[in-house]
Amino acid sequence: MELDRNHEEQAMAQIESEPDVASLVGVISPVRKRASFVTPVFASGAEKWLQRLKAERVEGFERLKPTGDVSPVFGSENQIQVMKDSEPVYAFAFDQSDVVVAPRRELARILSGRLAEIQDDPLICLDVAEFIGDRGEIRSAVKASAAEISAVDPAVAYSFFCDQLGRSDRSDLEEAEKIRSFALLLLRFFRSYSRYLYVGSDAPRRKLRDRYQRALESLIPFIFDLELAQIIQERISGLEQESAQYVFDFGIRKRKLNKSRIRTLTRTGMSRATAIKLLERAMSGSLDKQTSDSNSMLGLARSAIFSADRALFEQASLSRTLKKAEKKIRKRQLSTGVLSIAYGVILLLRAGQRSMDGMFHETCDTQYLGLSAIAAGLRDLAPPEPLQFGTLTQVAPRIPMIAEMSFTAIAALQDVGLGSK
Amino acid sequence: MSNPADNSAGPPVAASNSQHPSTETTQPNDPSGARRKPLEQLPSDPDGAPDDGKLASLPFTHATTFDALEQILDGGFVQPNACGVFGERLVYLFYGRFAYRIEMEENLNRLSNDGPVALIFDGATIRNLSLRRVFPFDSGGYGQFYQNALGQLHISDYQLSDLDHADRIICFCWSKSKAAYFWFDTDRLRAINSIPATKRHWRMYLGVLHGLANRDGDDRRGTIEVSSEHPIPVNQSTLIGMVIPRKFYSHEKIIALQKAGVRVKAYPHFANRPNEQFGSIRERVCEILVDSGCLDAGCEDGA
Repeated sequence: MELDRNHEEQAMAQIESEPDVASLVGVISPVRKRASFVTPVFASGAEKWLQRLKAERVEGFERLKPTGDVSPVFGSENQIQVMKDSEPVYAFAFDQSDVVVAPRRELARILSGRLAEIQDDPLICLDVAEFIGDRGEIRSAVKASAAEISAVDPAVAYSFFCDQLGRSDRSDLEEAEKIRSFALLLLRFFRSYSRYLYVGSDAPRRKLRDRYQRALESLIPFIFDLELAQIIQERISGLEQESAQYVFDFGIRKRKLNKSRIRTLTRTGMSRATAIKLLERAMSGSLDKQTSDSNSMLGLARSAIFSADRALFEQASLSRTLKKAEKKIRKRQLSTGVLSIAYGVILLLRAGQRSMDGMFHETCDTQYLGLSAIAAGLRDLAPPEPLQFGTLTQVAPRIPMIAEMSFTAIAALQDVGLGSK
Repeated sequence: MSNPADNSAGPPVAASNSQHPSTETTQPNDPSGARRKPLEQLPSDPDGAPDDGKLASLPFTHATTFDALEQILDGGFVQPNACGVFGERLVYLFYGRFAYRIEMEENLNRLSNDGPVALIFDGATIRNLSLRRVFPFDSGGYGQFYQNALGQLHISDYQLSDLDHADRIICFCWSKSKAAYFWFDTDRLRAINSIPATKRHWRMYLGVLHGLANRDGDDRRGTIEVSSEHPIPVNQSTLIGMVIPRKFYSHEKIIALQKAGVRVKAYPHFANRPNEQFGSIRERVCEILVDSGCLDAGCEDGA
């Protein structure tokens, strides 16, 4: 009983010695030379104190010992006083002589205006963005941080990316993980071609394989760039339109062709143009998140384009003069194919992103759209044989061509300012 | 405790307290006359037979700071530090859950600026090390928080024989639920009145776990603590994962460990008192334990 009383007295003495109000005297200096949140230190009497927080209020103060190494704060901040039950203050040091101390909302406002000053350190930027509570800035900072980490190790970067953006909903993360696994499988699929290319001792093949691997590696950082989907979509639309225009122009220029052939060409051209319009709507629909409609439109569009192209190939085989057209169209089609695959991968990753953002209902749609785009892309690469998505191994004999097409895809990405040269 | 991040060492424990053994700690029928420790024998379990099964998958945790972590990674070991309670150089770990408090008494600058770090060690690896002591609470807080409530015994009376003993205590007290123990979910803690009145020290221990009679004690009061005189190796073979302040995520040694398979989670660090990070860190430790199969999925929110 005696001991109990002593304990009680000690505890009471501790509580009683806590001040009700304390004045800011400085911050605990950052050890490292980088901008960072730092700890505000207060004085009351001869003692120094830290705020003890509970539910964003100052519950009390905790004695600070030892009291050395407290950096003074210059400017108006040194007038700050904090009372029990009031709002706490936070501190951020841009450097040793530039420290901002303010209540959370005020500091968030100040930091919002000075984000540009810490852009070089995306991980600190991420802490600040989270402190501010700006979802857009958080996403940007996560992407920038992941991109920085990916320079060292893409797999670690991806793990960081998922962990940071997926923190809100674990079940969605699992879904995202499946999607990610699929996307990685796809990359491994392309990687397997390089192994094929490596067979044999001839130097050009080895060189090609190295190029191929480098190209694939350069794709990995794109997974952090969600805007890429839109850029690729524009690129695909551009190529499709260009291709359709070419069909029309060719038909008009080649007036020597008989009327029935022109009519056929026009018909296939019209068919293709209609398909392209559908495709455009599908793509923009997917970007506007109207994915259910987009799926069906994309399916229709791809079928129409495929049919049109088949018809065109058949036409081409009828006339040597159309061989040029075939080559030209084939070239565009192959570009479209690889871009479609790239777009599909991006869509899958985007589906993962959406699921991580809690837009779970759209995840499956987007995932399906991604798969459709990849299937369509593979079909473009291997016309006129229909290619089922589930039979990727059938593509094996076309390895060298697909490898080359992958380089084209990488080059196309580089053309639009993405990817390392 | 000598853990640099956990300076909870209480005042020296009065040796004289060990002169007052409880009658229940002596087995009158024991021909050797050896004194039995208060928590050595589990009371009969009203819910069924006592569970002797090991919680072999439970890992160990160690709290430190990022600054200290850099030194640990450079050296490859968590080195023993001077312990104020036992007067030895020891490394302290908690078993099966993460618990810490960083008091503002020493190493202040690096603590508050760098943020706390949780290291999670593989259970089997640590079990194979030579452990110095095992306690059913943090030994550093015993004198200050639990000694009165636990019958004024000397701290050594509560020393557990080994980790199997600790497993039995966890199973008995926490409804055989690793998650309940991890989250210190007192709703799933065995009721005191389910223990026969003759098992006074068990009732007192459960009273401490329930938060009765010990003012200011935190969840370390029911966390199994182990100590070792030997350095603990820190590498991809011994570590399951770690939780660090997010700003250090791109540190080269952290990335190297991740590439080697160590799970790393990061939390945002807004400075202020290190203890305020506790919730965030514990949540991420739980995620790592679930990922690694040490805890069942679905318990991340404390369920």
